[in-house]
Amino acid sequence: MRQWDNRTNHQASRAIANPNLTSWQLVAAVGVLTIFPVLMADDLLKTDSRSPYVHRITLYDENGEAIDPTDKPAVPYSPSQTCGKCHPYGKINHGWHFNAADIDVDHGRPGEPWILIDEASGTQIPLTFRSWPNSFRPSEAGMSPWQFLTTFARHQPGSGVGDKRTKDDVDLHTRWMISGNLEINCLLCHSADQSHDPAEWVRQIMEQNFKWAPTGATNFAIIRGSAKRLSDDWDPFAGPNPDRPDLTGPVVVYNQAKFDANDRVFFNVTRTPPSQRCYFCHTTRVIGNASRERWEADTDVHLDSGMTCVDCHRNSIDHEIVRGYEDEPLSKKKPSAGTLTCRGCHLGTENGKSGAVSLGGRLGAPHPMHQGMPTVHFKKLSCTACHSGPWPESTTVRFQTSMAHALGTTSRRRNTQTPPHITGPVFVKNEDGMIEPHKMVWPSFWGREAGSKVVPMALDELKEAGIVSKSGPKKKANAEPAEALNEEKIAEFLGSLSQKAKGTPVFVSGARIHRRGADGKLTSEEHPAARPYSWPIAHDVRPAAQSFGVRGCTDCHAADAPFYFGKVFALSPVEIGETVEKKMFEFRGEDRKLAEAWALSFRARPAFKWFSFICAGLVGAVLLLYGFKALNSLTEWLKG
Amino acid sequence: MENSHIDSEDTSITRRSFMQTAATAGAGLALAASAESQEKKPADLKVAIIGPGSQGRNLITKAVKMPGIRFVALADIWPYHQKYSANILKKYKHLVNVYSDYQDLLEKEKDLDAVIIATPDWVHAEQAVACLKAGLHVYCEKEMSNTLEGARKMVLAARETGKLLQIGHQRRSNPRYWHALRVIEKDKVLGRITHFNGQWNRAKRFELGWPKKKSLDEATLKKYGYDTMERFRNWRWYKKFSGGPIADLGSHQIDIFSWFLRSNPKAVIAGGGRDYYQSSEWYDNVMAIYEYDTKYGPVRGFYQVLNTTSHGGFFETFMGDEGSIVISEDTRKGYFLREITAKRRAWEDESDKVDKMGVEAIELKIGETLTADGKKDPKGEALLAESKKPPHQLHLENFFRAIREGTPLSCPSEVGFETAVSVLKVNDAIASGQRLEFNPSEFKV
Repeated sequence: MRQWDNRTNHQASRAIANPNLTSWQLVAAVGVLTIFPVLMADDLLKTDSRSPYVHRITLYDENGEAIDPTDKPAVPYSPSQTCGKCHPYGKINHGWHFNAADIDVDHGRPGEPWILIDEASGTQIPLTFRSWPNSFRPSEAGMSPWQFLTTFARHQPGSGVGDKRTKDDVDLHTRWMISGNLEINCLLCHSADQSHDPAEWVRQIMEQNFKWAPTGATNFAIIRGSAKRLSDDWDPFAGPNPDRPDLTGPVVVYNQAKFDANDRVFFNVTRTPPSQRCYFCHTTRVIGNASRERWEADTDVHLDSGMTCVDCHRNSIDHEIVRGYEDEPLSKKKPSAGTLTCRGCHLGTENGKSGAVSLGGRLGAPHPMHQGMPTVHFKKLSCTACHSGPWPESTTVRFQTSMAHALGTTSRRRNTQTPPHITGPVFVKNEDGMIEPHKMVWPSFWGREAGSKVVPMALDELKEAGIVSKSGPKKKANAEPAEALNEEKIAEFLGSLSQKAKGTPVFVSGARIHRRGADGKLTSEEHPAARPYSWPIAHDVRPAAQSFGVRGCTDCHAADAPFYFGKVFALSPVEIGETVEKKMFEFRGEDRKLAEAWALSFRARPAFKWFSFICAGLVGAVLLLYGFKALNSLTEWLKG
Repeated sequence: MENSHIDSEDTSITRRSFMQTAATAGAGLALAASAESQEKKPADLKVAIIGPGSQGRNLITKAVKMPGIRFVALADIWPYHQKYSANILKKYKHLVNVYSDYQDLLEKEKDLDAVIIATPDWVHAEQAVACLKAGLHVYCEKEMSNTLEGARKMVLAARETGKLLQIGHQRRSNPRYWHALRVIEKDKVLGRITHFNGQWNRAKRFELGWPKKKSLDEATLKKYGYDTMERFRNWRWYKKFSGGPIADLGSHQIDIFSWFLRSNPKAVIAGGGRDYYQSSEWYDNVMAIYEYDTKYGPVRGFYQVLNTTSHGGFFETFMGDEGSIVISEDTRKGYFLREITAKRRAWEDESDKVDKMGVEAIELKIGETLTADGKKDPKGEALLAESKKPPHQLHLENFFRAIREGTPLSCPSEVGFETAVSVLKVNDAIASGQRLEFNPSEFKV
């Protein structure tokens, strides 16, 4: 049945592409394409049981043909064709993890960006296809979908930009043909088998073995060779290059012992991905003095108590994952998503549309008392402000993450100075005016200034100017550090960059914009283009006993409290003059004097309290005295 | 035994024509880059390819980027090749008609200008002759045929029809080789050439496979002359379909020996065998010694092709009493070694040096290596840029320019024929175990 569907869909697609169609053929073709997803959804096999289905399955290649592991050359399996036999791939690939490049999606609150790094040029640009403030689209940094994919797909689960090939230069078509589609690697999340290797997925992607990467990550095949260095005319069936054995194309070697007599393999998969799977792309670690060895530190209190990431970050088959913050776009479509926030689970929600779960207590979540806490805090602070991330100190700490630093891949060179420089927690206001802790990265890039707008230069342009090494940007987080830029070099480069292009060459870094003055020296000032990109810290959640404020008001309301006066340095890959230092309240647009006065008031608060108690006591005593007098008068009056 | 097709001035002539080609191509590329699509224009050459397999795609991916070239059809008996190559062409907006049989292509495509043939050697003659007789110019991959009879038919057909027949010895269009030849002939850096050697060593080969589901059915295989799918895929190793490794690989380099020595060989003695791959029909290792009578005097040279080791890769060396030159299509190899007793050139200090096993050698850099008068070639910089193009692209550009403007082909069929005579005799020499002499008439058609 599925084969019929495939054929019909293919024929319909071809028909639409054929300009010689009659109108009724066109209508019929469009009709088939329109109802196809519906037909497909109805046709899917399902068990409707909580018991997991044992996946002893046939593998299919990209053309939908069954894999024969003895074929020479063997071909890699295709998740869309294999998993797609029973799961609606066309629906799944619109889910949150795969729709970054879809401009029709409501992207909600900012999340972690991809950060383009080039040490030689001091580049540190937060990139995302999503419309999040203070970030850049990859195209704005001169990156094509192909370049984006070959740089960042390492910590993506496939699809998304991997399907955007049509926007690339035509000359890249042969590269795409060689590398193949980067399909969703379902097992990256859903494997219950510890031998499924996400680091191998990364290795395959860095070799541009897109089509082969899902197969290479399994335990039933290995991939040899690299698509990256092949010539455009490479023949997938030609085997190793006898003249350049080092330029051998990808070759699949299946472990035939893993196949049964019917060429089926056991896919050890789970509907609910283990947290360890999520961690490959979503690990955050604190580095520097504030870091703790693993044995010293606890993880998120929820995980420590036995929960998993997907207990809260759930999704249906459409893979629209609950991000877990209040009023997220998904909750408009699916109200019950709103019950899977901090408040939703611990306090319940007010919408009442989701039945009993609206009452809170989901998954046994305790109802917090917050005794003595003025209610203004619940109106101005997110839960995470007190409960999430590292304990705030006088200076923010530095983070490394999977997405930014390729954590999860082995390296001997990754160290605390490895860019990008991410800092936090910084307490900022979100779009709803609630204060929450954020991670922060400061942009650093060569750009062109036209009016108030500054647009990054493509790395290719920097290459031509000799600012980036001809070999291009270092794509690995563990790359060797390059020779440091300094003020003289920056001024020199700014002078050497073409003045013919639109806009004046500038260098943005460390919260400032740097221009080359008439005297050839660098001038610097703060500029909107140099503002940081930040995104919320949700994890790790600390237990109630370690929540901020548990020691009293002065955790936040003190002259040296990090919440107001914590130092945030504008960390940059390039040191130009003194590093810009900001205080936490500045990010919220608060007034320094007011903040200091408010903090100072908490010093006198104990005295105020005693004074109030004494005053209240005196007033009480006077009232009591008059009460007694009144009682005495009443008694006298009754006696007559 | 004079090599008939190139006289001593050919180097500069060819280079001049090459420069014109390069300039035309460069301008055209710029135009192409700005064009929204590559829709057919009146001046376009309409091209078909027969045999868009691995080597065919090598040619497609070069030609499709050239201005004024429009692929309109392809033919291949294997659907896999049809689909894969049509997809590449489609991306470049070359929507081609796809045929299994080249005869259908010739019958139905009446608006063609040229055909590229990249099929197995044994059908080159049949297909090239048919295309020429259909009034088409032909670019045919080497070896032009695995039989001299077939090669001769191709030359005759080209002569009869007046159409161009370029043979795919692409080194003939490579500025690196022109530069080396110039250094030898004009600057006379080798003195009296006495010897040469060359090799093409390849790593252990693996049989070309195919997914079983993509097998051609038995009837189709039989129809087109193949006993099995394995033979269809690994045709280079069977006598019916190919001249063996000496033709596949050696013909490129033996062609260079004759070109650089301006002569055809006088005799050859060779050894070889199926020592490693017993399932093959052709010799997997071949070692041949050629004798030439040249303008320099007698020259003797050794050539080997091995299929079990990649040691040293592929290159050609010419040795004289004053120095030696190593040249290769592999751009990492190209240098000149002066004999210690030879006169030191004033320009040597200005040239880049490379260490070759403890001996200082001068890199052969087009545009940078100084000539005998101590100056740089004025066209060197442009040639250097051109030399960075893929070798097959240069040869195709030469072919298409010849069609358009009547400039000389780098490797016309007569040249290909002479090379085929030189090459195929090696197999005879191995079989006979004898030193075989060439009769000058053998090189004539």
